[in-house]
Amino acid sequence: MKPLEISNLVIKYKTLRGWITALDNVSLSIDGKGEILALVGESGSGKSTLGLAAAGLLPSNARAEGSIKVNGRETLGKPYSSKVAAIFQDALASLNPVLTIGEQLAEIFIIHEKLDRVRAIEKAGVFLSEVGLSKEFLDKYPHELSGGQRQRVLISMALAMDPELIIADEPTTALDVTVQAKVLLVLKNLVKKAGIPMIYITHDIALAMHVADSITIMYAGQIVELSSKYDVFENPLHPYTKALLKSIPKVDSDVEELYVIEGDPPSPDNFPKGCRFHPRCPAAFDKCRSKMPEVTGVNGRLVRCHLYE
Amino acid sequence: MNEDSIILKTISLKKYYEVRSKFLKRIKQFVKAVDDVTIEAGRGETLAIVGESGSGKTTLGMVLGKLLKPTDGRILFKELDITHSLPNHLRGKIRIVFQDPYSALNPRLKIAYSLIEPLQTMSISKRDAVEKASHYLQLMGLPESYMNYYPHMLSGGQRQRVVIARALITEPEFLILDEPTSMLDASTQAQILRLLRSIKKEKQMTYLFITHNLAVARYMADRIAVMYAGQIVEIGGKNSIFQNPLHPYTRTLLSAYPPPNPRSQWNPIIPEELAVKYYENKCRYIDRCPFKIQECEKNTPTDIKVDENHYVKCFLYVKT
Repeated sequence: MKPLEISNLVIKYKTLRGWITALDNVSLSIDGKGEILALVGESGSGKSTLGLAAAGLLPSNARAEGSIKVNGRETLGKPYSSKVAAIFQDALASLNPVLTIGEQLAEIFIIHEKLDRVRAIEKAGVFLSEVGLSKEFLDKYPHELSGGQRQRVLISMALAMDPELIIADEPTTALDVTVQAKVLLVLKNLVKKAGIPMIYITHDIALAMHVADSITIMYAGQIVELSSKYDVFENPLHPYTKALLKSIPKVDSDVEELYVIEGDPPSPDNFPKGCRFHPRCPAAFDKCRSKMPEVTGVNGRLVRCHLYE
Repeated sequence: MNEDSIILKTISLKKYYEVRSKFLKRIKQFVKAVDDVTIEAGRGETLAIVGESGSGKTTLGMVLGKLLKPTDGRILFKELDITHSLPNHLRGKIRIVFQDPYSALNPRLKIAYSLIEPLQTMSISKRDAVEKASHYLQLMGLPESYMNYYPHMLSGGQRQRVVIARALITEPEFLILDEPTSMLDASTQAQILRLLRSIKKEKQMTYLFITHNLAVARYMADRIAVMYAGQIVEIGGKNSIFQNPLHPYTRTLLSAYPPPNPRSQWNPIIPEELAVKYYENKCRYIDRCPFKIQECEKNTPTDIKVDENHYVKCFLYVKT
């Protein structure tokens, strides 16, 4: 039984211009305990929608088809049938401003484990120390904390409910780089220690390389490539992945000239015919313009490209 | 650096913000956003200012772009003092581009109007102005037909290119770029960074490139200045900063960026998360510094020359 198995997931949003497809036929799985799967893509690629769907937090204008199984149980449309915790970018919006950190954290133990108040607060202190915050933080309010401290509180809250799956959607994007490094290492170590599978959503492929075990590259609502981070870095298959890796400036070496992916990502209400990347793809040929490629397996890796069929 | 080729120079530039306590409106303390900054930028050079939020890098850009009045110090543009006013003949020679291309363009004006607006205070005929606008639009890799578009019809990257075209239209010699790509996606960022580099080369402009992203700074800059608590704690050529970072803060900052190769080690130095303090009689980095020595408690470090063009404000490098 896999911790997470998503198959043929299609998610559409109803907008003033009609239905737009945010996610198109996405299938992926997390196979092991404590495995971290990164979703990497540009804005509009559908990575956050996938996270929301897995957390059961899709907005009311969304319509979903397919299946999301957490430990074998179907959760799509039944958000309370499994324990999925989510960590978002904006920690201040995720915390209640009028309750202390201790009260918010203890509430989880009172509800989920039926502990009494005193015991719950005690346990909250233990969980805070796991993320490197002292007991003094129990009595503090969210506004008294720095951004990195708030994000660590969210991590401890996510772990507190002993979840079957954690969704971390750009958890450090709003933080300074030194704080970002700290928060990510805390998150990664705790998730590995507790053996909880995690989906890590980011636009920063370099961070994904160090936080995750495997990487899913998304483009225009579809998975274009999924494999281990080493394969993605050392031998990217899809032309988009190749281009993406060549287009980011590197901190550890000088880059003579950045590679430019011409054009802009397609708008979800007007996807091109055939492969969605073909107008920007240097390797596109006739078939790419007329037929949408399917996800195919290449040596245990997944790629959506006619070059590998 | 050759004196003739220096485009912009600051001497002990300061910008303090007052923090008033509500009671009796007494001035409680200052935020020293820019404190005693002396830098110079030569023709055709890109000077990157890197630092975390609150380091004062944006304030420095705003003061140099003449959008904020400095508290003290001087700004020289080609040896001319422009601290208090910019002479007419220098109008448009210093321009600034901000981070957010969504708020930088008036949503009710067509791109053409936004582009020619900076020319309206100059004696240029409308026909010439429109011609220029179309030239700079194409220079930024956008088709001329976009002149009749409204901002909402463009993507974020296209808007930022319009904003840069508008900055270039007055033919500036000094362009301040404040996080110009940090709101954009990776593929769009590459487009804009490449364009900016080639335009600089072609027009021999001087860039002040403000960024929190060291990878972007490494790609764009010739020299890099690291800011902390309003001060430049280390400045040097790109290669000496990346290959031989000296200030403990520079090292921390550099270690926080993961190398893209998953097999490379990533061992970030994790500093204490403490509020920035504007100490006057000791090193401002002292609360976070793992290498502090007695001297750091007693005095403010001054610039120490460690190499040609490489200066660091740190007592660890005082030669005795």
